[in-house]
Amino acid sequence: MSSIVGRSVGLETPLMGVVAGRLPVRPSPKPLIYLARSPEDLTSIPYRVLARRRLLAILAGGDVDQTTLNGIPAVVDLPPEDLAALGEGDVVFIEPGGRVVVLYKAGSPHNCLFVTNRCNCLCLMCPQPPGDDPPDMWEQNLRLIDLLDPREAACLAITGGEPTLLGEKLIELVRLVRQKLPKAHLTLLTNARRLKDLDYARELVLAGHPALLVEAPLFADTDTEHDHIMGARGAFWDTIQGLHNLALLDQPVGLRTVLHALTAPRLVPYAEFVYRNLPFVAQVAFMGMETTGLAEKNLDLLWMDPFDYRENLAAAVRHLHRRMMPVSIYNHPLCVLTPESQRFARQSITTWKQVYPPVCDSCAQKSQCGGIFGTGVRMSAHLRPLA
Amino acid sequence: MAVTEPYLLLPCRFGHLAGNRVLVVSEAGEFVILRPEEFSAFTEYRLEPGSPLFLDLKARHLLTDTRVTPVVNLLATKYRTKKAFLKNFTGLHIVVVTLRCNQRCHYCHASSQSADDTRWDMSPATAKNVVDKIMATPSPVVKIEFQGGEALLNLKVVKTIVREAKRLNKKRRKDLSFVICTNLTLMDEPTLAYLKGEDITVSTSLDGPRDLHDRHRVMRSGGGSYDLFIRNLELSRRVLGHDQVSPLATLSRESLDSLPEVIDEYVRLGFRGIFLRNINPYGYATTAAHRESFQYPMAVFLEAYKQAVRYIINLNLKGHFLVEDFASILLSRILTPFSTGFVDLQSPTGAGLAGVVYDYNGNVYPCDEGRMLAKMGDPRFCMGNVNRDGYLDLFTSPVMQELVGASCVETLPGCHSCPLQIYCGADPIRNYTVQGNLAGHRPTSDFCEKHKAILEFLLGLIDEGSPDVQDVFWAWITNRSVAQIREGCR
Repeated sequence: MSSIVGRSVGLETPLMGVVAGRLPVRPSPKPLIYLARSPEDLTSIPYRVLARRRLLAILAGGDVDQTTLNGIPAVVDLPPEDLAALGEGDVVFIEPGGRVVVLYKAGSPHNCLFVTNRCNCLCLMCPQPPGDDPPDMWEQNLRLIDLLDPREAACLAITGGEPTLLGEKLIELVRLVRQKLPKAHLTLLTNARRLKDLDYARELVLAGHPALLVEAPLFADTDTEHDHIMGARGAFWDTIQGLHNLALLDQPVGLRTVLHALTAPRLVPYAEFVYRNLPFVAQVAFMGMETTGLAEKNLDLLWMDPFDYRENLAAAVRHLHRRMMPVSIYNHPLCVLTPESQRFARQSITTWKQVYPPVCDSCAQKSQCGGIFGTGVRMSAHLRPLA
Repeated sequence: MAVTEPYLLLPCRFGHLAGNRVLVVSEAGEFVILRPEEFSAFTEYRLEPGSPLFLDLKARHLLTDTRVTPVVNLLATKYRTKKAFLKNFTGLHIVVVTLRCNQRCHYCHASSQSADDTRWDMSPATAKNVVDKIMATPSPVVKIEFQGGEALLNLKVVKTIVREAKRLNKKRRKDLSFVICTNLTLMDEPTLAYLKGEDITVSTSLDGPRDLHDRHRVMRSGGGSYDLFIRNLELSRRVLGHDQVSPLATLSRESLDSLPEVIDEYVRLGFRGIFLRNINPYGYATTAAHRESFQYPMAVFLEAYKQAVRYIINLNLKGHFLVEDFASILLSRILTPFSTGFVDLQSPTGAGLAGVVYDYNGNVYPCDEGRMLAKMGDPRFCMGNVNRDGYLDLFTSPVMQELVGASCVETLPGCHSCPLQIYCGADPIRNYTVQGNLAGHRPTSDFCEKHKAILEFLLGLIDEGSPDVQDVFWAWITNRSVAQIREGCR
């Protein structure tokens, strides 16, 4: 999640609310956080007359006259580019120290509900290593869902950690989201290990139907290799059983694999394994590695320049495409792919993590390209402008 | 024996392929083609765990060095998927509405009778009983195929069957479709309007360009049938739609010598597929007059077939979409995890289980060959008669039980250890006709010779690994042009 930091004024407890740049005439049932893009916004008539009593907090830049805050808690001195990145309908969480965390970006296809930090695996390349959950995590997520606009929220991913560790609470959450946001497409990112329990899988499928897509990681075509990468013995067969249960329940499933030195050499056998054993999957996504978290720690073991596996990747894509299996390439700039596989690349990196290094300035394909992870510590040595 | 093998071998079958290769096939049909020294290392437990070959074999579930139970469960799931054609029971119901025909093709095995002798027509009463039996099948998908003779000579009964089947289907709600087999020579606008209205597709016969077609497909009144065929093909396509008419070719010795011309004719007429079949040793094909044309050695057919498949592959690469249908079926079996229904090559046999034939007089046979034998005086494969017997009497008849028991390649001598087993099937009635018993004798069976040779030929092509050939194979399997296969991939 992206966050910005300013100076806190009068903040005693953490606050969560919906960002509003224009003030509504009628009282909003939701807690509003007023986005004052300029000092004038805090002297405007609507602000002075109508709204100030109904505001939860204010976000503002520098040169703000503190008296105009009228005692409303605020984060000020926020850099102009950070203020500009916030928009109507975003949901933010304000920490008393002045950090503003964007929990939900209105209009973005990449919004997530982080439901737990815990995991039953420890992947070698995990960008967000698991940890304990703060005691109010569940309540925070319920509040977040409550603040979303059902007319606007088009897609939402439930992720973690490993969401199925919530057990029955995950089912409750899925049901709740379906209820509150009936139009939203839901994606559940799970390793599907717990879905080897058919009854649990059935509950989940019923709760999510028909808006739910389950996306699960499969990193190799054998248990030896998959379990090694997942850092969990037995994970491979649990996941296979979980995926077969979902297929039995007619639940759409997507597969994800992350490309690095351990997975790249066997991409074609991997593709064949998927076709032979999981031919029902709705999509296979080949994902570039985000070189942060454990991936950074294990970089010596894992790093492989995407340019060096591009032929293998192209062959695997071709293998699946011939077999009518939908394929996507995530997190890869176009210039490291072979020309034939560029059509399968998606702009998948979350906007706030997405960057284009200076070499991209002269690239004619920049607007079609997903860029690279701004969060990573290593990038391909073969980035180059395309004609 | 030591119990410290580094891995466990899982069930598989293996055998030699040309070019000093060893084919290894899993219980679920996944295969690997090895060099002999690789195969020895595999079976003698000398593979290095973690080596690429070891992982290839492990991923295909030919060995395991970790868990056994989940692998076996997965193999079971895949095996069920491969055998899914058994789940629904009989889906193809062939109704011989008349034995009369206005043609007298030299290779006919349908024992055609003269065009004006209505004794050989199915009666409306029998037709109704046929429909009762058809609609009693547990299969949710039912295709009714009208055959003859020339089916159009008894259009009245065709209409009776279509009407009755649709009426009964209002309750049964099956996926019901109809196809009529006709030489097209009697096709006219009113008939086409009827077929169009009832959504009935047309299956016909085309042996090649005029000289080849007219050589053996002759009118009972004398003369060839090609020109009339072409004229009515165009008419039928105009009314029914271009792809609603599909032809079958019967290959005489003469056509084997000029298969590219036959294939070119199919391309010229815009057909999407051609099924290259040898002639079965039944009916008129065995008479002295035409033995030369029809009783060629299997090896001659196979050589022509292989060259023809290569020729068709090249046509596809040049931008002409044309499927060799038999290769396409076998390739689906080899390269996909799915089940492929093909009545003539299944285990247990498709005869009776996947398809069934109702003769004009109401007698029921597991397949056309059983009907032919009865015509020639040996009624041993008759399952009963629709006017006398109930559905269960017919489909659990001693004939059916005997056929099923004698047609599981998993247990047949010669088939039980064949690596091609899961791609192949059995034909007990042909075994009986040609070799005198249901089980048959593989070393002298030209049925075995044919399927072994074609499967090994296709596996050889796969093993060569040419991306072009793979594009064509997948174009066939997925019914897309090579250009579509390559879209965005080149």
